[in-house]
Amino acid sequence: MNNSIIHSYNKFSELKKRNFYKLFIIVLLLIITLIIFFFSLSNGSVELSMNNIFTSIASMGKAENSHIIWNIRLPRIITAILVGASLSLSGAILQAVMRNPLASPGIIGVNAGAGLGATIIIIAMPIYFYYIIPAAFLGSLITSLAIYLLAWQRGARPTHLILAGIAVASFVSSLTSSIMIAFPERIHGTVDFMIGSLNAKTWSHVKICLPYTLTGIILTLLLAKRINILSLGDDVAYSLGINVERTRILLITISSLLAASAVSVAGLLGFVGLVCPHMMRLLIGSDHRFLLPASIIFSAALLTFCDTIGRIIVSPVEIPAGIIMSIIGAPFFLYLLKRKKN
Amino acid sequence: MKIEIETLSVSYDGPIVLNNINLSVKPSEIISIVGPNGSGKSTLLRSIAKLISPISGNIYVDNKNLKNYSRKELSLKIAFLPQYKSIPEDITVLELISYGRYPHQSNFITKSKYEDIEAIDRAIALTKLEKLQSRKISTLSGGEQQRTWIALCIAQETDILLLDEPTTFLDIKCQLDVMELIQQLNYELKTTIIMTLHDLNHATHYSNRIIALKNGEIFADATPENLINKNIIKAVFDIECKIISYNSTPFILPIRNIKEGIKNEKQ
Repeated sequence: MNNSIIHSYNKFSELKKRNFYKLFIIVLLLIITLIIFFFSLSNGSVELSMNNIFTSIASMGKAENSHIIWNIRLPRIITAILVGASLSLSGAILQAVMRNPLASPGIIGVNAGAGLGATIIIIAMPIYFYYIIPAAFLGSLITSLAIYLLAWQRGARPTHLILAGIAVASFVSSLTSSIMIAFPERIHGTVDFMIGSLNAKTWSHVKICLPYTLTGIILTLLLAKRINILSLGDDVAYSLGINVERTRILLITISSLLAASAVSVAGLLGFVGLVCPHMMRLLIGSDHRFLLPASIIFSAALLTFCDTIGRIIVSPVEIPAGIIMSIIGAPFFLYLLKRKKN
Repeated sequence: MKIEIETLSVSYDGPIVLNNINLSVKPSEIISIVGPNGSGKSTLLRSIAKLISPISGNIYVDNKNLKNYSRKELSLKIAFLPQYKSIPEDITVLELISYGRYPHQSNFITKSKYEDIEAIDRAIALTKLEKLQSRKISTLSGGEQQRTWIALCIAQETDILLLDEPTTFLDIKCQLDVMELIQQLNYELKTTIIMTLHDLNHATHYSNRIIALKNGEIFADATPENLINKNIIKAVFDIECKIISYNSTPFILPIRNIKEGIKNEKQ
């Protein structure tokens, strides 16, 4: 009897070893993020030393020469971190809830809705430009709510949600296109938003994202275990005591709020929410207790990195983060996929 | 643990799928539900698992109405193994089985307690999965996967286990392995078992009681020896058969004259 207990504990220590490895990867990702953070702070049109960076941050922008760090680079980097974290968290949750690898914030209409909201303001009533963010936010939430209601049939089945999502998103996008065609001379104003860019982000953008990102992260990490169970299928999850429908509504609401806040601030960065969770799944597995934090950290780092590259590579011209993201991210993702197969 | 079903009727937006079902399940019984496709077998099982709410009638589990159970409470009394499950890509046997402990753990904290480890251990021993426990489920054969799912249900430590066609997609040896495992569970842990089956010979060999459904109603409900006869098989499944006795359990041999069938079609 005693022997068998020792034997069982050994078995679990094997599980623990694997979990420890996953934890190690997460810590590694954190360190990489920190390096990218300081790299991004010190590089740009003006090169700044570590000393400069620390005095600027310590004085909260009041020290000499700290304007660039405190008012330009820091808010932009923090926005990139928050936006990256929110989008990939949202994507990771949706892929689990829908049990579909192609799910992303786009599938619940967040991008299409934000695009329409922003386009209406930018093109049709540019004098109200300061309403771009609330309009985009509202647009995404209304669109994802519409999708959810249309998919509802005594509960919202993932396939219904995905199909309703595709239909509604294409309908909303056609409205966006119509507006663009009606005002062809103003289209250029929407380019940054449609590609996704972190140009000229300030502390006010940070303030918009921060509450959503923080609440989203805390809630989903608490729900990580439930997300694991949910991925075994509705019937199994019910049998294990989870109220599947309620949990699904909660998770979809969290992910649409996360994505809506990110997209309305930084524009349609489609790639992050779809691919970053997959990259981490290939690296760390599909246990959401590890997958969610890894996705959050990794995409925060990746988006910051891409934005920094876009900022410095052909300076003074800036390339939007969305473009760099796809150029760097897509081959990297394909490499991971290939490596996994071998 | 007792289950009482009183005048249960179920419909999915339209035609009645189950009509006025009355059924009483005694503790530690093994019950097989048989019947043609569309007769309501799975619906009956899913109703007991509270996956479908009836249009009328009540189900009592352990003398308490199913409607008054929370999901969590019910998950401590009934484990349900559905026919279709999805398997996360890289999950191992041990990890999947450990999810069976979810109802016993607090919602947020994931520390495994001693009872959890013991329960998982017992589930692994009963299903003979010791050698496979670190393998990824996606690399296992169908039979091994099914054993892992059953192990998850065992780790859940419920008095009632519902299985929806547990042998579908399995080869003949795996089918027997699964049926013997179910019988062993009932014998060693006194688990009440209710399952839907297509194979009538499995039903006669491995259960104490067979319920034959036809068009959403209970057509017959008896022990295998009393239930299985030519007339009932003809009435429920619309096939002719021969019944032979082997080790005092009835064996059903379906008879169908193929040549005659083709002749009839030609006419």
